Amino acid sequence: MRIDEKIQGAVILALLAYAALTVAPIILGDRIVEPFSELGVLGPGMKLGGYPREVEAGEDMSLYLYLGNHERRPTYYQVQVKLGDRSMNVSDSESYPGAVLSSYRHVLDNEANYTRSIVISVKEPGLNRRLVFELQKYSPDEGRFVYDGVWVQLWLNVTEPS
Amino acid sequence: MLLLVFLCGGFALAQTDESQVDQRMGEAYMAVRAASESHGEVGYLVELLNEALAEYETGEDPDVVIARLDTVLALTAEETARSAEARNNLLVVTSAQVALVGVLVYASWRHLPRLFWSRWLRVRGGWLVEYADR
Repeated sequence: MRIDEKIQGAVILALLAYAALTVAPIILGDRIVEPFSELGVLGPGMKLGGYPREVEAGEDMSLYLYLGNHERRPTYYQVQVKLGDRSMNVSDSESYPGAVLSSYRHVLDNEANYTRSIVISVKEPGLNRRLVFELQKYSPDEGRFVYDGVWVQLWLNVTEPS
Repeated sequence: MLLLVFLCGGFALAQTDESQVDQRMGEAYMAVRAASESHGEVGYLVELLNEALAEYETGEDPDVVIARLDTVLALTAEETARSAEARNNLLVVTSAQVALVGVLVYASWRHLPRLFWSRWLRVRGGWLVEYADR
């Protein structure tokens, strides 16, 4: 092989390497490392805060539910609102065993978010009641909603109706 | 007895409707998700799914909801086909661009120096060499 052919080969290899280094970030750059979903509960003013702490049994509480999708694909969500107390802790791995008060479903496109108003009431009075908002995602493999390990909670004292 | 059978039948029918809507909703969502993974534009399909969910939530007739979800399924199939065709077209165009760039790089490397220097010699080749004897 002549010297100029070696140089020619080296230049072509350098050009190919440069092209690969230029194109690779474009192809791989938009891949998210860890997909995640957001769940939030906003107070009656549609802000974080101002949550009801004391309500009468049967009284309507106006809240807002916030969902955010960063799963890199459209995701079908279900939020279940469950009632509990101090005797049962919330787990990141297992669904909370409390009674389901209501549930809400919504499909979110990737990188989209959604806020909706909800009205909840607790029928039975009691101190230190826990309202658990649990996020579930539709599992394509199982064909049902599966707990995602994402939850938020509100503590309430539910008094007798006056 | 007849009334009991009638009531049980009605309850079973209602259960079937509910599970049918849930099932069809799952199918429609999976189809939209697959279309999205094929790089289809699914924003409007997601909106249609949510409209169906909202109708179901407000107590709309399950048959109407199922009909809407069937529409979503049909539109999703169209979107999947369209995105596959667009992807094939993009692949052809990208391949042609890559091939063209490769040919241009090679041709430049192979022929540009000779072309340049031959032109240069033609333009600037009328040299006059002077010799000064000291």
